[in-house]
Amino acid sequence: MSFRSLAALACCAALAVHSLAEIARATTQDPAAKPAASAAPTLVPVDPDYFHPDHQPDADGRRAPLPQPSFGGRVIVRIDALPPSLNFALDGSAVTRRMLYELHETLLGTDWETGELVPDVADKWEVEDTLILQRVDAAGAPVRLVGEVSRDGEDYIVRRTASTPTRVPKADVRALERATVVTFHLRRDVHWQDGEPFDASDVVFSASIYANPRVRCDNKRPNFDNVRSLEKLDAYTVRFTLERADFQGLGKLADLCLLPAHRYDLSDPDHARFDPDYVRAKQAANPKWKPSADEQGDYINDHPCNRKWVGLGPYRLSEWADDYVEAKRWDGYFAPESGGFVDTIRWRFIANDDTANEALLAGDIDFNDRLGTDQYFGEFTQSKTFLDRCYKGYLYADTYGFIAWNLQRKLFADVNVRRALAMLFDYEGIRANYYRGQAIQVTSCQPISSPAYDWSITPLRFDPARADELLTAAGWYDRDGDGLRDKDGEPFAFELAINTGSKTSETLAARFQEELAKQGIRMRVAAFEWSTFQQRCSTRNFDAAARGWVPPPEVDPEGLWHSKWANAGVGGSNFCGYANPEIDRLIEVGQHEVDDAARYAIWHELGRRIYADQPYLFLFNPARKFALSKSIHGFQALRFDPCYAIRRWYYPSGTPGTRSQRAR
Amino acid sequence: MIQASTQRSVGVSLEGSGRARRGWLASLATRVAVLFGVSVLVFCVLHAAPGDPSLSVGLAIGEDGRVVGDAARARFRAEHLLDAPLWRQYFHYLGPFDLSPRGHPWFGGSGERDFGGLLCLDFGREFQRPDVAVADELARRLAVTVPLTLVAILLAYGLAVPLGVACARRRGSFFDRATSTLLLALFSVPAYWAALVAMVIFGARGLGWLPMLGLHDKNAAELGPWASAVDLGRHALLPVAVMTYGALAYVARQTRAAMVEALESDCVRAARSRGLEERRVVWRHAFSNAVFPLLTLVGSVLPALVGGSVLVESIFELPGVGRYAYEGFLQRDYNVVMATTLVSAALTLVGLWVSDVLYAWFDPRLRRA
Repeated sequence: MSFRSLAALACCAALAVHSLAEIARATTQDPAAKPAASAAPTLVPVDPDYFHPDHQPDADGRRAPLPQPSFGGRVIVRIDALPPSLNFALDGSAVTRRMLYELHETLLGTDWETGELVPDVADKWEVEDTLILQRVDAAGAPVRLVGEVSRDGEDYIVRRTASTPTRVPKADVRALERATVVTFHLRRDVHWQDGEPFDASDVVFSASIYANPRVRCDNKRPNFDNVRSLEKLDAYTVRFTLERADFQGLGKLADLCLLPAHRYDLSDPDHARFDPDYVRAKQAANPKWKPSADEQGDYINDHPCNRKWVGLGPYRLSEWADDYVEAKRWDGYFAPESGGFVDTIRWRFIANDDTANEALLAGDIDFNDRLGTDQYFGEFTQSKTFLDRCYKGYLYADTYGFIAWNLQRKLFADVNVRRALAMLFDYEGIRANYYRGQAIQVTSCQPISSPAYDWSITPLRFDPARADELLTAAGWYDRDGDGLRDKDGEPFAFELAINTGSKTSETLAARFQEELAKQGIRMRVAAFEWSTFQQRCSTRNFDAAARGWVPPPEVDPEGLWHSKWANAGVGGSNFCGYANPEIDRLIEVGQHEVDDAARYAIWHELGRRIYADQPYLFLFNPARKFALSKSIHGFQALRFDPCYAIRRWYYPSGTPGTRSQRAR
Repeated sequence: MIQASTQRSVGVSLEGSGRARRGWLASLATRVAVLFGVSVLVFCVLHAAPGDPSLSVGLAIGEDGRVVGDAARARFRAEHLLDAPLWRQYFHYLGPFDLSPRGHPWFGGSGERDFGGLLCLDFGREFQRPDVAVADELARRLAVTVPLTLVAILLAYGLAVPLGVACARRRGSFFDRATSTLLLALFSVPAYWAALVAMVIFGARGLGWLPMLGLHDKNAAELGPWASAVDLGRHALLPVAVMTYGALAYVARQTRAAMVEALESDCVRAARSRGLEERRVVWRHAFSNAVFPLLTLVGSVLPALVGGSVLVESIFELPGVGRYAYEGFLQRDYNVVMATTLVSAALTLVGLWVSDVLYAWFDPRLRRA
């Protein structure tokens, strides 16, 4: 074995040991001893090039300095699906979002390391409250006072910049809606990638499309149902007024998909310059033509720019081929200091994992973040070709697996039965043997990167003896000597539905099946291809189903747990049919709580109760494993989606084809 | 006498021509009816299969457990008439009237789009990408699949026929036994396994001789015409080889079997007894009789051209028709599955017709009949 191989193996071993230590620390903490346990532990340090072999610590624990970045070059990133469109208002797929991180900007950004909202195309914003009074105005509507509302004894004080505070007695107040008026101040130096200036008209138009039922933005429409009014205060100031307090209100507005009004808005004075044929054809048919809402809706739905994207980001779309999408760095970006190093990013569509690995070795792609456990720890990443060209690493994205119990089935109605089943899952064994330690046992529907995730919940452990006690106490024991537990003449037998082709589900189901069989429970594993599997969940036609979620930064638990989504045919994602009035109440209180700390406390309480009720058998958040070309530096495993920022990647100074200056 | 004979001959010919025309028309009508039957059958089977396209679409948008997918699903179901009776859905697909909410006013639509459907040669739009017409995408996919499959089929026939004939001529010899064993082995090897093995041997993990990804190099845009052609050839080599070997083995076995029978026939014996050269006996007398089983196979060539190979296209990441149909089925994209199936069915019928014509061409008895 060569020195290089030994070094690589040592590096891998060090990382694995570090990983195991971190995971052990994260999952064995004692909630009583650590009151601040809700803070997410650092699972993978955010340091640039943390996994890069040229940057590993020496005997003294010191890392070599990072190389000097250069400008230029190309990065090819593997994607496993091509997006239907890049218009995020119409298509919210994960791959679209990943591309738009480099191609586009939003009103406010999310700090990839802390998760906080930070300035983006809006450099300032103000959030104010609304005090709704008992008295009504001339139109009969309740008078609304806007400002920072505080309590002073029995009175409310409404403060607004440059105005005298208003005191309102409590008796005159109908309701207080916190954080319902949001004003964004836009930067004045932002341009669309076609050179047109970006201003408040674009924001107003972009938000207005959600009120047009013809636009195919149903998946985003609920984000704007709560918008009461939208005002353009001046060319660079926009104010949104919300109907009621919503903990995600600011986040939803900040994430608004900005569209260039001069291209999409049929009534924009500049529109005819960009699509004269459309307007001419319409006016030829009817000289007095004015765009209707339906025409506007269809125009947005079918607009060529949905693919030939005109954005605000540091990279501009240059090519959309059958198997890849390519973007080139755009010199007109308003914040060149964070505008990326490489000249070209190509997202290469490769559906097949084996082919993607082969392409990585052949140099056809530079980055693949869907490395399987077998490849990560196996011969693939130990081959000379791989070690010469690539390195590997992992990060924790917000995703988790679970087994949903159909609570409308008599078998799973008893919480003790569900807890017993959870104790028959060999978490430690599977984590050690299948995931090789790179997975975290989760206890909540909130993402582990969020403060809404409660790290103080002690996860259930594999405990067959305790499970046996619970099952026996619940009346499930073998009465007829056939080796199966039974009750009321019915054996303890059920079917676990899994998705065809999911190796993880197959492996976990087989191990679970084995443990259940030892306890006299028969579980049949039935694999369904995705569409059928999804239909069975949606119609509640299953006993138990193994699946996973990719949660947003903070989950609104309503869709998962509120009783109004418990029955088949009503929509939502409460596949279990979980219904608990106390949980409903907590959800409704949490949804209207805009104070982060208070809301997190509610979500923690909700998480504890849900975990105690076990409608899901919560499983793991597995590490996402990746392989990256060694010639690329600057990779950081970030806590928040997309978990890495291509615009921070670079080739070291001196790499052929690169230069020291940004300008080409 | 001669004149009368000529007149009779012409009269017979005209009468035969009329009968032939009627025969052709009847044959055409039968094929159209078969195609119609296929469309009904596939449509019914597709809709009877478990799975719901609106759920696939809704979940493609996000898997975060939020409620927001439901409105999109409701709109999708309404636009595609998924809640309408099956017969109405079928006639909407068949056309020529658009029966959707935006369709012909006679059927309760808003009149924005009066006509559409199969009879208007409109295969509809993709479910996942409503701005993409299935016909356009199918044409793009055909441009990948047809050349590759065509080369594979020509190679398979070009190699298999001489090989089968050689085996038949040396029947029972070591060459025959060894070749037959090899062909049987080749025929038994699954294409996906062969593709993966080829990838390991010739790809970057092995010898590193051939590219594995798609049909073009990542720098294809910078290549000149000659380098571009070489690049295409290198990329296409393994997919074509994997597509070829199975057909080669099958056709060679068929050719051998037919030739063995033909070489033992009376006409071949008679030809040999007349002292004809062996090559002439084999190719002129034996092969012309052995060709019929191969003609039957021609019927399957055209659908194979469009069907491609799902597995080979998936492993080598070729955006071909086979993969399109497969992905369409997984997503329950009825328009994609119907389009690929119907084009395949239509080409099967054309292939069978070509096969009939070739039979008649080669066999004078059939021509006279």
